[in-house]
Amino acid sequence: MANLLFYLMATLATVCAIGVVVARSPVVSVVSLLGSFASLAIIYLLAGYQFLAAVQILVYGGAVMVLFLFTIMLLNLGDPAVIHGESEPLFHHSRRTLLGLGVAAAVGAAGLIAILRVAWSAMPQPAELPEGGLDPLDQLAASMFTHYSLAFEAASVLLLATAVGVLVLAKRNRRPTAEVFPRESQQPATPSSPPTSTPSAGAQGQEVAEEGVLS
Amino acid sequence: MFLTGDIHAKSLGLLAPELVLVAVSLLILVLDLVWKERDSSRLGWISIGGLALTSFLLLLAFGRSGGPEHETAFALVTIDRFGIFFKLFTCAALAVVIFFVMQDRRERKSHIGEYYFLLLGAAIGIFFMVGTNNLLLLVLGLELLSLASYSLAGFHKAERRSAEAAMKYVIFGGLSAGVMVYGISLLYGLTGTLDLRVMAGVAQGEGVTRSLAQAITESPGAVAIAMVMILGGFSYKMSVAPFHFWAPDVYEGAPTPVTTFLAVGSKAAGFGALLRFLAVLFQDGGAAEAVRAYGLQVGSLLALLAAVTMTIGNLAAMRQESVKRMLAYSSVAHAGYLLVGVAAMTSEGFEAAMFYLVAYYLMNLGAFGVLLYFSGETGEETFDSLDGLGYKAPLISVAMVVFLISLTGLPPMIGFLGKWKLIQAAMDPALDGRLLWLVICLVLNSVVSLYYYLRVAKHLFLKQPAERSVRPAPALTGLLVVLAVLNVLLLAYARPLVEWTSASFDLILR
Repeated sequence: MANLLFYLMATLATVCAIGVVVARSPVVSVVSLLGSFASLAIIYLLAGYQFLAAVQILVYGGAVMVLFLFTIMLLNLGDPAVIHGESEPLFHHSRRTLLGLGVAAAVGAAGLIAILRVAWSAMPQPAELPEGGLDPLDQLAASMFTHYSLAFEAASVLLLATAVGVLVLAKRNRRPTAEVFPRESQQPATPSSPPTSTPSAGAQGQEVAEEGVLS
Repeated sequence: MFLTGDIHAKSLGLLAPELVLVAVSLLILVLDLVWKERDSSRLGWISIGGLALTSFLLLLAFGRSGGPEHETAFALVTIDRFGIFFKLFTCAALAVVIFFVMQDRRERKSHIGEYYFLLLGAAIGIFFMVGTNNLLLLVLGLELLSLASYSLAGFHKAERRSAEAAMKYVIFGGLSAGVMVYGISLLYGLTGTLDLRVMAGVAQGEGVTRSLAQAITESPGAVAIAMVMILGGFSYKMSVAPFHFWAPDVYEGAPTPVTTFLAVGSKAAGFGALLRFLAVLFQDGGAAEAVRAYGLQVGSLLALLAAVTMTIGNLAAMRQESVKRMLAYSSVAHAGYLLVGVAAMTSEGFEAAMFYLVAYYLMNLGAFGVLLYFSGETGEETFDSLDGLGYKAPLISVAMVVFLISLTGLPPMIGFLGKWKLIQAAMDPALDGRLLWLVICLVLNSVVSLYYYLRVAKHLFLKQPAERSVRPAPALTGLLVVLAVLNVLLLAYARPLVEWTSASFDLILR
């Protein structure tokens, strides 16, 4: 029974993962991703990792997914064929597609070999799962806050640096760029040199579009 | 195992340099908020002060360490001279980079507190990367460095090239990190531990663990795949082919001080982590014979990568019209030279690579500093924009020639000694001349590199004197002249430096 459920969920996860890549509409893509996350959570549950399954649903299925959907809805990203009125094939170069498939197959085969050669031979007999699952919360917390406490702190620095980095990239400059590079703006722009200091027309258009969304 | 309070206090003491760095970076962030509308260069000086304090603590720790047994903080960070060497290197590189930020004429003068914070954050990442034998902390440090670098590369986001650089860097970085973590997960599955010393079989791990020697005999294919994937992750950080594609575009698009940091600090961090990984896994005296033999095979792979990397870097550098892009490809080529020492898989080879990094620091920081000055004056980075400027800014231009000769590896500059030591390590009699072809490749590549390095000097001095006048930059000129003098002086008095790098390589029992 558990085996059957595992194979079902593994198939579903793979199919959904492929769906994420090949779906034309971003919304369909995101919903497939959600399906993939959910089936993975059930696989974790079957393997005895109850906490991991719960976190998978809460963090990935909940928070991350809502963020994705909000972004897509707010930016009004639909099917490119509908928006631009043109239908292009998803994969242009058949040779590159083949190459990508080949690499993916090689990586997959590598993982499979690793599993078959090592895990299969040394696989312990399926034992009864302990009462609280394989990752009881207290043990996980103990390990995280004693043995790996420093790694935990390092992750906090990482998150802080990421937050600042995202702010740097996302915040709008209150002053025009010309003031940012005073030296360049003094010189008359010559046609031969590309005007690197002024935002291109495309960027300006994008900014207008963003403001339209936010207001 | 629960750590007691005493052990915690001791661990915190051992981590003092890291703690100071974190505290200074947080201070920068808060002061940037409090001092609104003020000149940001004060924050720069505070950062440099923090780096000086960190270096001082590191030097104290360097004096205390050196015994055969290394102390560990929180069972994750190993306090050994090797780690301290790279941490000092990072502090020294970052101090110059922050000085460059303050001297950058194309940079805003206020509201750039995040710039310093992100640079210090990247340094904290490097500290964790080079100071740990644990692959989990290694990956965390690598990610911290990478995430800070992405935002730094896109710091001039209004400029198209800078935004493009950040985007390309994120995609390549994410992919490479994924590849590396996949490889590490294979290794973890095979051995049951993330600690390199436990894998090597020289330390006792918790729970059920198997040594790498066992894993190699039982499933060589899986170990090979894991090794290739992990080396791929390191290659990306070091911009080694075939993971170098991001380097030219990112180096060109990022602000010049950030490019300097990526070319010197980030690259050295990649090498530091790689050297530790290889030395602890494959070279320890306590390691099994099968593991050492396996290490030699990894060395042959690295030798191949070294040859490909230096050739690609040099051939591409010849065809560039932008000095910054030329320096980017030159930095790819130098990653190839550095790998020659690593590929030897001997302690001498690793020491030679470390020495070359010091030389690389002196010559590359200088070259980027000169580029920073001229591009700040002309607003361009092409070879043609340098025409005749050698007569307008003679001191800085002569310094540039010194750096270029050093980069080529000709006497009387320290770059010559660096290359000489690499060749010496590769020609070690213990290797039976297996790397002779690589040495020939290195020499030929150096000859090729002479062409494009001297092209800069040609544009500076052999063209008509430029009509434009340049504004003097006394502080920057002073620093560059000091670097140029060090390039010459340290060849003449190289002995203390050589001895220091040898003493720093204490990862393994010989």
